[in-house]
Amino acid sequence: MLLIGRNGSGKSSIASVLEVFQKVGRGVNRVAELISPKDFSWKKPGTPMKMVLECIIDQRCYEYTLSLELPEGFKELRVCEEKLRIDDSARYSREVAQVSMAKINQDVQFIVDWHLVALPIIQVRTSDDPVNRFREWLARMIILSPLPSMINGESQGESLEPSRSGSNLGEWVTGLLSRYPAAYGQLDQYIRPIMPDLSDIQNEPIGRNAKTLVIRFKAEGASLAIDFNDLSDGEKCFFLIATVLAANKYYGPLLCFWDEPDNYLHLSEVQHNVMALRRAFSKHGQFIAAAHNEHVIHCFSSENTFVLDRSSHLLPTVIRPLEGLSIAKNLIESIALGEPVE
Amino acid sequence: MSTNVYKPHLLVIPEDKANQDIVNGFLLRLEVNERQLQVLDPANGWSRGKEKLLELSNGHLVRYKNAHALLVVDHDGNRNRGCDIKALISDEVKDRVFVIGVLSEPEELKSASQKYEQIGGLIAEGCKADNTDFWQQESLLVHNLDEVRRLSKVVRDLFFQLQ
Repeated sequence: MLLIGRNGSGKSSIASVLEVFQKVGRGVNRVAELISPKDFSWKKPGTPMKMVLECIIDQRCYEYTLSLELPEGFKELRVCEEKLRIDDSARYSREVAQVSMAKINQDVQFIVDWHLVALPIIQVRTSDDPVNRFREWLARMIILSPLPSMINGESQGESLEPSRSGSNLGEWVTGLLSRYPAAYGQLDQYIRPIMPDLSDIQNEPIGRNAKTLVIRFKAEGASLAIDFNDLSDGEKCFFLIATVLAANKYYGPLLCFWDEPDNYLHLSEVQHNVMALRRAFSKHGQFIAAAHNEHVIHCFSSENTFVLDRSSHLLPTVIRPLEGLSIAKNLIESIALGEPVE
Repeated sequence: MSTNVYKPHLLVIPEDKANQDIVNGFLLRLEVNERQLQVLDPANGWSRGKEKLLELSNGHLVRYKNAHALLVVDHDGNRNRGCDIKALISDEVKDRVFVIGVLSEPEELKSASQKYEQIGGLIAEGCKADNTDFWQQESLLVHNLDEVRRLSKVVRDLFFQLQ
């Protein structure tokens, strides 16, 4: 899926909302750490902010709703509604502090601090409980707006939870390869056609608990080892894409939101890399890109491109499928000319 | 490195966004050598598409013997459009040039249950299986049959894992 629209139309805000769900999945439950009063529309916290996420994981349909409000006199937001439905039956629901959980033959009720989101603290009996599966899926969501200068390839531990800037790529690769060693093959398979002189990727210890990625190249009998930190911005992005593909293959299906996936890439690479992401996620998972670049836009079709638009900062964003809009026919020209979305 | 021009590769010129969307559906099904297929920007008009094809045929295809070019162009009711365009291509590269397209325009091929990318996917499946049923059953596409059989030979070997 592709999101297009003028600067300020709200594309990155969708990533920010997904990031709220991602943080909840990663165990952040203090509302103040998720949302602040300034995040309300037009900075007017009078009406509750409602976020709903629907997804299908392992053939099960999940619907998670989180509503937050800032009542008069409060300094911190509180939960006014929260519920999780799985396959159309409520797993739990909540109004302000009162939580109701559906159990066999009985409903259990308990109180949770209204400044805390309940999902991270719901106790489950087994790790394959659907609630746990959903939390894990949220936690492993990939939301990227990479800043290659912050990606140095060093790690002090391991993780399957990448940051938005990609700065913890070292930990992510370490976590991926320690749990799924076969994922190395996927990394190699993706990178090698882009860098035919790639010899191997090493994760060398640089201290008691730290490692750093070193990329070794070999050509015509000579070899060269380069610290990951010294790769170009675009080359770092190739490794990031390869890691996304491997993660989705080995512990997916995942949702990946990539804000401007063409950033730092050579023109001849944009189509191949964006299509590789689309191809992989079309089999397994969901890929969402937000872009302005025409080469990215060409990689998506009218049926999976959505146009975000708003008349002014005081009006809400309207999201419309590109299919059927007047700008669809000569899309790039219409965008360049700033034609209105009709 | 992007497309390796010294190895077999295919350059695709879609006439417009609709044809490009069909090509996107095809790209999503590639299994190997994905980087050897490069889609160029939509030509925005069959005449411009023809010009772009001629430019490639006289330049890139002459320089690189492993290059192939495919123009996906609306026929606007003219069954001979493909042949007419091919007649302008030099004999030196003619066997590496392909022209296919919907007899009218892609909008008529699309239906509520079958979107552009799905159509591209069906074409890819047919290529892989060496099966032209989709082309034969669709009156808006059947005129492409000979060209598709010729193109399939190139595409099947290059982009699909054969059993």
